[in-house]
Amino acid sequence: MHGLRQLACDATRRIGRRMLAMVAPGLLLWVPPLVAEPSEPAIAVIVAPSLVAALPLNQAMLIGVFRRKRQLWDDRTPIAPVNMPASHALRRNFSLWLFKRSPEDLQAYWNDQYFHGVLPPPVLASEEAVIRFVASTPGAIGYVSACSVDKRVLVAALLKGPDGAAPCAH
Amino acid sequence: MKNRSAPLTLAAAVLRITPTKPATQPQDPGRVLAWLGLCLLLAWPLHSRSADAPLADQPLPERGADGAPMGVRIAPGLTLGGYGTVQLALPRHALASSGDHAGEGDGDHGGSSPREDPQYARRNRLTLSHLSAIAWWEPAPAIKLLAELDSQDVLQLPTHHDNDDGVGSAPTVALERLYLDFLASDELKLRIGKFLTPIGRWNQEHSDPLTWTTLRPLISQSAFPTSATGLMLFGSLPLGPQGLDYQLYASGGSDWHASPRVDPFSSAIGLRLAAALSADLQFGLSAAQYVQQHQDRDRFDLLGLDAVWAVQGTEISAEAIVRRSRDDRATERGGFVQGRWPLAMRWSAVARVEAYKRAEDTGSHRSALLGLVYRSGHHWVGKVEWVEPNRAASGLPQGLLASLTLMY
Repeated sequence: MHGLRQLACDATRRIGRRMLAMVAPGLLLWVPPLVAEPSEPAIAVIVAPSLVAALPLNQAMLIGVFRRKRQLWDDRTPIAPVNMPASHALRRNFSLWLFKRSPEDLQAYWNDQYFHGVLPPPVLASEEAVIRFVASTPGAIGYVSACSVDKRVLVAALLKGPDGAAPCAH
Repeated sequence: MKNRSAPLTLAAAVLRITPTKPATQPQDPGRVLAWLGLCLLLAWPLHSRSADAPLADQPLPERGADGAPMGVRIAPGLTLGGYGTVQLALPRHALASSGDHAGEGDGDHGGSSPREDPQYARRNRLTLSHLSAIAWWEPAPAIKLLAELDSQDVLQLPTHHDNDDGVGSAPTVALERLYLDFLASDELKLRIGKFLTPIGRWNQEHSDPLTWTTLRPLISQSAFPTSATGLMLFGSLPLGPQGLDYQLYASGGSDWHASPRVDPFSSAIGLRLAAALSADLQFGLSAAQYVQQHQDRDRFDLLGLDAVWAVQGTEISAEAIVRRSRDDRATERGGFVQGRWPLAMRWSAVARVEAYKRAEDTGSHRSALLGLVYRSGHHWVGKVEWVEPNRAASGLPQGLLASLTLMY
């Protein structure tokens, strides 16, 4: 019995030494990465100025709104979210930063919702179209690049990537 | 004992819609629709404010190869969709005996139990297993009427024979769901009508396009009726980053257009809670107390747990259930664990192990399933799987199952 225990200890030590020998060169060569420069500007979630009382919106509220689980503002106005097309870079970042999921990964969720009579938010093709729609439609909410926001709408929340947000060019 | 059943009895008394009608007879669908229409008319003035809100031009629904299905808008606020499934069953003993219907195990299987699995067949069979039509109407933002009619096994090759396939495979048209939702707030919604029983995850997401296997686990259909007719309060409470979803329901029986494959509730009361601990991990808890029409001497207490963990395309899900009868005679318990792993292109591998002890079985039923799934970007799903149960349970599928489903 003692011999078996000794054998197991020796084997463990040998394996440990070999693993250390394999890993050590890598540790010596490892250089801490430079702090990555954020490459994408923040995404601004926008609403009409008439919804100022509902601001700001937290992450849970945004998730609920864009998953269509939250359907009413506090004053019982129906929430009308709009999306960018799935192929748009802004939509992809919005999905990854808010839901931690790509638009494709959310398809199963929307398939499930379809059987409960819930459709995903409709889409508009451009940021200007989103701003115009949000500014003119009661209860609407959308998102654009933070660099595209103007005084027609209010910023309800700002989403940034894991590296932060790049400044606007202008 | 009496005190514990009091809430259930009270709920049954309050919710009984047609107290004089024998419980085993299906409701007249026309009467059901008329009743729902009356509810809608009564509710209309309550929501006139939101209905009168000016409607702006709506953006277009997203249509594309990878988009969710959108159904067909046939009138303002009225959408029609659904799915159809063709299923192929090649049972193991049928493969081995080349169509010998009196193959091994026939004597044990009996074939007359109303609980026999509808997917079970003793011979090779090709069926149009589901042809489902779902329609929902949203006349105002706070009101939704949803109906689903499911034609099951209406076309079969070879044609249906009770002796070969059991009563579970007889063609039938089932009213899956018919309910009216009132949205008081995001935290409080009211559902009235016939809905899928909120026990576990699978039963509420059991439609073929949503599942990874052709075969349903026993746990999702054996211990309780898959639908209930009554009232439900539900909503999402702002707790945690993803919220806490709840469903509190009660049924007084009187199941609307009950499927012959289901032993409906006589009375039921239950609660389901579901929460996401993170973007990847969700948990659910189900509890119910109920009586079924064909087992009216037994009052059941049921407790269920479920979880799903999904990250980067890999998904592990599990459900467990315990159903206890007061005299322990009809106790059932079991669970399953299922994994899905993405392969190349749109293919996935799926595996499941299930252990379940049904009341009528002498021992625990155990089964293993291994399959492949192809999910097209155009809303069709192909599945092929091999099912290997042990011999402790009767009337269950074994061998090769395959299906092709199209969502529309």
